[in-house]
Formats: sequence, structure tokens, C-alpha cells
Amino acid sequence: MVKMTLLAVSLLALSAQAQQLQTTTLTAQPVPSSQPLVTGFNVQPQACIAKGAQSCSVDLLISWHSNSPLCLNKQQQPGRALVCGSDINHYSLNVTIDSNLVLELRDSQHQLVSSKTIKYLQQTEYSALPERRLRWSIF
Amino acid sequence: MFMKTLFLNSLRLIAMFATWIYLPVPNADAAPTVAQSSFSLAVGYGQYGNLLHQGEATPLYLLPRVSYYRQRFYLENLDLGFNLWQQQGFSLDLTSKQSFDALLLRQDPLQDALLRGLIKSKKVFIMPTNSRLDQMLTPERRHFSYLSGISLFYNLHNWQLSSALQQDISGVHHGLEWQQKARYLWQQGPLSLAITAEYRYLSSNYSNYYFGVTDKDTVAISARQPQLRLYQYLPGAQWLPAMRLETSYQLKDDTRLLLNWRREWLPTAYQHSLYFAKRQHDIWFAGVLWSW
Repeated sequence: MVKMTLLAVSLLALSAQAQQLQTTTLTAQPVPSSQPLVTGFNVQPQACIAKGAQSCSVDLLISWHSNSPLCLNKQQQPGRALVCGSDINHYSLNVTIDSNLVLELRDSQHQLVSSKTIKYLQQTEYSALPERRLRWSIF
Repeated sequence: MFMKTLFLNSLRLIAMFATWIYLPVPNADAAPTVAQSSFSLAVGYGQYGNLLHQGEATPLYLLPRVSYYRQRFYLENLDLGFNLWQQQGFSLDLTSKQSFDALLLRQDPLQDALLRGLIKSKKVFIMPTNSRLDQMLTPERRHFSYLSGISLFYNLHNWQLSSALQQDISGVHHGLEWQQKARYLWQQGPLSLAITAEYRYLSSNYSNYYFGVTDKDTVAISARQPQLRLYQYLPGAQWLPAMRLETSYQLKDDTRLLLNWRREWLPTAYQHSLYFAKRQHDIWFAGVLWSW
């Protein structure tokens, strides 16, 4: 069964997170001079596409380098570190999300050093049928 | 009779087929489908031809167009469709459509048309004494019918081939139509040109109802023999070829210039129906199409 799908991907931006999205974009947060210096904080992929209103599962590859150990956590769980270190290369993390996910890097004082947002995208499907009549055919 | 049996068997096959193939059921894994709909209004001038004796073409100024597609269901003006199966350019649909053949025999001039046809035909009629010819002509109004059946489409590159077998479901004439179409679409920038060749088969019931002179169209010439009519003619099943030429020039996303023309040829058998002064039926329209 061939399903020709023209896909439109719509961003499901929850209203509660709308403001937060503006501050937690894919670019790293400014780092105060007193905080550890982090370079190459990278999370791939940066989006997860769900079919319809389902949750979305994705394997993330996370890397960063810093001059002192940092811990990675989900924004919703600030006290629960997923992985800590100063030189992390391609750390694999499986997540299942149903809204945008913000991953944070915090120092030993739990100060926010940097963050990344994994966008939750929802797939919608247009009719798979080719039009039976030309759009401009009038009789 | 053969075509009706064929049609009924086709419906049975579809029912069996539909139980076997995938039909749209609520599916948690499926992405939500977004409906595609559009409303268009063509403004300009055109004519719906009139084949009757002394008949006048109907001018066309406004032509609306509605289309709606969602999952396997679609609507194109008064036509409905539901896709049963689709693979590699082939589509099998349950379809229904409005028949517009009633427009060919518009009521008002129908008696005049038959009268003129009788006179011009130079046929010899038996008429009761002391009766007027026009009083003996009581052409029955031809009603619109609605057809339903199956359609097979094949899309390949710029070609669309289709075959639709549809039965009257409105109880008007109980006939069926089998229509074949081959359309070629050519596009060059904003200019589009579509040429369609059509051929439709009308069963006896269909053909006799719209294009025949039945016992209801004239009165009995004798009270003793009510079955004896002034004139009666049943053309039986017929094939009607047609050609369609559609051009469009896109001015903006939602605006097009249009020139559409369609000609259908009535078979020679319909000449004996005496209603018709000519056998070429034209519809054409030129104007601007706005879409929303």
C-alpha cells in the first residue's frame, strides 16, 4: 500500500513553554566569566518527529568539553544528573518526549552553564489521493 | 441486461475486495490527516449549448467549484468519491456523480422542439380527426439523476486514464453509464493545457429516458387502443464520444485566466427522437478563476 504523503511538520509549542523556548534556543547561553568554560556543547539530533499526537522516542548523541566537570540534566529534573564529566564525546541518551525537551549543563554549584532544546515536532499527513480533477477544471 | 448484471457483479466484487484490502480504520500509528479543500469561483462568460429545435444556449456568468479531500474521501462539486485501493498510479474508488443530461432536454421548449421535429421529419402520422398536433404532444419532464458506482483511475506522468461504471441510484431511469476518459496535461510555466478524450456508454434505460420519445411523451391516438401513440422512439443503448479542451494561465497563486470548452457528439440514432436540431453539444467558458 503506497502512501504518498505530503508532510507538513508543525511545531507543537506548549503555551507553558513558549516563553522558555525563546530563552533556551539552540544557541548556548551566555556564560558568566566566573562559570566554567564549556565548548562544543552539541546534541544531535535537535528534533524528534512524532506521528500525530504520540510521544516521540529518539537516541541523542551528546558531547561537550569544559575546563571543569559539568552535569547534564533535563530541565524538568534539575536535581537528577544524567551524566557528568568535563570531556564527553557522543554520549548516547534515549529519551521519549511529548513536548520540547531542554537539556541543561550545570556546574558543581548547580549553576546553569548552557542548555539545548530538543524540539518536539508533530507530523501531519495530507490526503494521499492525487486530485481526480484539475483544480481549474470548472465543468 | 448484460451491463446491469456486470454492474451488480462488480458491486459484489467490490464488497468482497473491500473486506480484504486495507480500509481506513482508526489507527493510532497514523498521522492526523489534514483536509485539503478549496473553493473557486469563475467569473466570465460562456454558454451551455442547446440542441433542441429553436433552442437557445444558456449563458454562463458565474461557475463555482468546490473540492475537498480528506484521507480517502473526496468531493468535487456534486461528485463524491471514496478510495478503496491505490497502488502505483492505480486507484479504485467508489464514486457518485450528478448526471446533467436532463439539461439537454429543458422542459420549457420541449413541446415546441418535438412539434418542430415532427413537422421537419416529414413522417406520416396517424392522427384522430378534430385534433391538433400540439395537443397530442405531452413531453414528460426529464429529471436529473444521480449515479453511483466504481471508478478506476490510472495516473502516469501527465496522463490520467479513468473508467467509471455508475448506476442510477435516484430511481429516475434505473439505467447506467460507463464512461472512459483519457486526459493529457501539458504545463509550461504559468500556462497549462489539458486535452481530454471521453467516451461514454449509456444503457437502454438511461438512453431511452433522456433521448427517447416514450409513451408518456405523446397521447394515445385512440381511446380504444391506448397503446397506440402518435410517435414513439426508443434509441436503446448508445455510445457518446466527447472532447474537452481546458487551458489556464496562472496570474497569481489564487488567480487564473481560463478557457474551457467541451463538445459531445450525440449518436445518429438520437436524430429519430426528433427533439434535436443538431447533434453537437458544446459547453464553453472564458473568464477568471479565483480560488480560496
